[in-house]
Amino acid sequence: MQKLFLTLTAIIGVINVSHTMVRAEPNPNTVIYTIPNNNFENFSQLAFVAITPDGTKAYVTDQENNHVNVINVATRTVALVADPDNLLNEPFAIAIKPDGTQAYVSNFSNNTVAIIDIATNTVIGTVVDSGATINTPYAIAFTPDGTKAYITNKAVFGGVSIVNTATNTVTGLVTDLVTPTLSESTAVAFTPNGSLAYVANIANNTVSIIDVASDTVLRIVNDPDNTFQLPLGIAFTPDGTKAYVANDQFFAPSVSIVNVGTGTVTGLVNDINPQTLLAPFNIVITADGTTAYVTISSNNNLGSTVSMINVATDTVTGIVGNSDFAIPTGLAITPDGTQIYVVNQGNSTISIIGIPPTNPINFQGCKTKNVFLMRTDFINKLSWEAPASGVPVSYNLYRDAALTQLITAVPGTVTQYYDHNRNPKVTYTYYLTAVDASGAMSPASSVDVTKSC
Amino acid sequence: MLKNKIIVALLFVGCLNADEHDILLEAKGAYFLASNDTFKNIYGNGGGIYGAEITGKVCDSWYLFASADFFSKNGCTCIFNTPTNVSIANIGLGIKYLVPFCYGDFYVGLGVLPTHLRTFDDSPNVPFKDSKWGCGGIAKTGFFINLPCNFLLDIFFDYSFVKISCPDSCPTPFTQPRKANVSGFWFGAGLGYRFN
Repeated sequence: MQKLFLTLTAIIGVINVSHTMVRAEPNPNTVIYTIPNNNFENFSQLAFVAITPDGTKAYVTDQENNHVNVINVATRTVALVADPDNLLNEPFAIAIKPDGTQAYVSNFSNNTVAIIDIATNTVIGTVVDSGATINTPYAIAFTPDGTKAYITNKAVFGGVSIVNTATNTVTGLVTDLVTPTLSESTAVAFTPNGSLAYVANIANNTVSIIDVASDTVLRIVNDPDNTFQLPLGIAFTPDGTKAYVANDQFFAPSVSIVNVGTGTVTGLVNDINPQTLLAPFNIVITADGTTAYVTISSNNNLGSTVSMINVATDTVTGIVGNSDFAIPTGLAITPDGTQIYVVNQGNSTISIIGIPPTNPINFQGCKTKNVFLMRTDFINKLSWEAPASGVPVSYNLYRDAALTQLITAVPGTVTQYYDHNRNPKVTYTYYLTAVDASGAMSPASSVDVTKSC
Repeated sequence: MLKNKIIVALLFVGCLNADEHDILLEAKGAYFLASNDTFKNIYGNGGGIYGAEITGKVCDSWYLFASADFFSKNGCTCIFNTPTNVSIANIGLGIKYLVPFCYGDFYVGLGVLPTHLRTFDDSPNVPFKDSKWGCGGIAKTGFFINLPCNFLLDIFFDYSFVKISCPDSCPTPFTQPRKANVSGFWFGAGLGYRFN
């Protein structure tokens, strides 16, 4: 009989994977790395951190040594920003222009704002302030379009200096001597659409609302229950509907919730443990708007920590850890949403929190089959979409809710899998998790495969 | 199994009535038109099938025939486009009834069709090779047209009906075996020589 040779022309992109017993659980938010203090100068007093829009560099101010450190995000190595003219003087807050070309640093002690050229990591000058409006500069924020910056002045009724970022020149001062507010202003944040700015004032425990187009104070946030107490941090949700204000008071946990539409405080974030929101210092919200992270630097029973708030429920869901931080102050999220840099002023270190990806979305499954002449390979086809938050490098597929029976791990670029040789009479349930580069794993999405494709 | 078939074939030849001296030997080719949808989905409608056949008179208008044919074709499964190949080897044994007419003989026939089926499936999820014997039947009809010098032309139209189960030794428990249906129509012609 004639011999046959089958030409192999294509291989279907499927792999028959043996079942492996593994131990796996979704990772909570954890500190995945700490940049030790020997990376910084002796007697450093680190304050704030800002990350470039491309996510390659993080800048950390050092008040004690009058320096700004730059961290290579990829290698986590630290270097000093060059300051040939010694323009840095007790540098405190730092913000980076949305185009990533320059950073502004508030010099708390000499009423200037230094400008860092991001490309060369060099201080190239200070913001021109011919009217001497800058007085004890504290917080800095850029409008989303990057055309304007606001600098809060911690002086009594110091107002907010307005900077034209194209010329790096102060063009005016927002004051409010009628209400009066804008006194000892400590925080500033723009709504995502850039139309409003909120400014926190610790002199009178208010939050002012500034119309950005006219650079005028519209009014203060209505706070009927006087929740604002030493407001130090402000963050808006990405959709701009809600703002959180961190109140740095020691005697009661306090993060105020503001309805941006009405400009009214609607309450305080629910705190499952009264210690987890005691004396919050700074606050950031993830790009997907699901979680807020708050630095807690108070000397409470939990010690220093970073608390997590579920934005949807306005409830504290837990803490990142209480042994990893030492009086954490500033914090910033990497643009890809995978990590948070936290400044530990207490021991001059930087903690890097790994944010686990959220669970894969739109996880679906259906039954199909590959019919050969003498065999039928019954297949469950599974498909999903990337998580709303996080950058998965792989997806783990399991057959049990305990996530012990790993079927396969596919690369993060793959969003489909064929599970072969299934029993057509059995309904299979699959569990899928996303894993990021740090190994952090998302909660599982699940699907029962009951329908035919 | 193959040995048994050969023995049967030899017995068949031995049964031919040598006194009658009417033995027809031919080489033939045909188009095999599959009748099963699964087969057609994978390998297309059909293809060429080639073989040889011997027909010998038993008595009066009754003849016995024995044939061997071979078919092979590449294909791809639906949806997943997995490359696959099928080869079919048939051995036909049966009886024909010949009715003479002015240019030759018209015939009808019926026989058994022991068939060897082999598939190569290029998938890691099923056995690469499956091979098994099965037995079906064949119904035949056609014309022997006499040509000069005892040559003849056979114009035929057959239908074979064969189903073969998956081999018992399925190594993958969840790979579901299925009965392969390799039935189909044969449209073809043969060129032979008539010994009489």
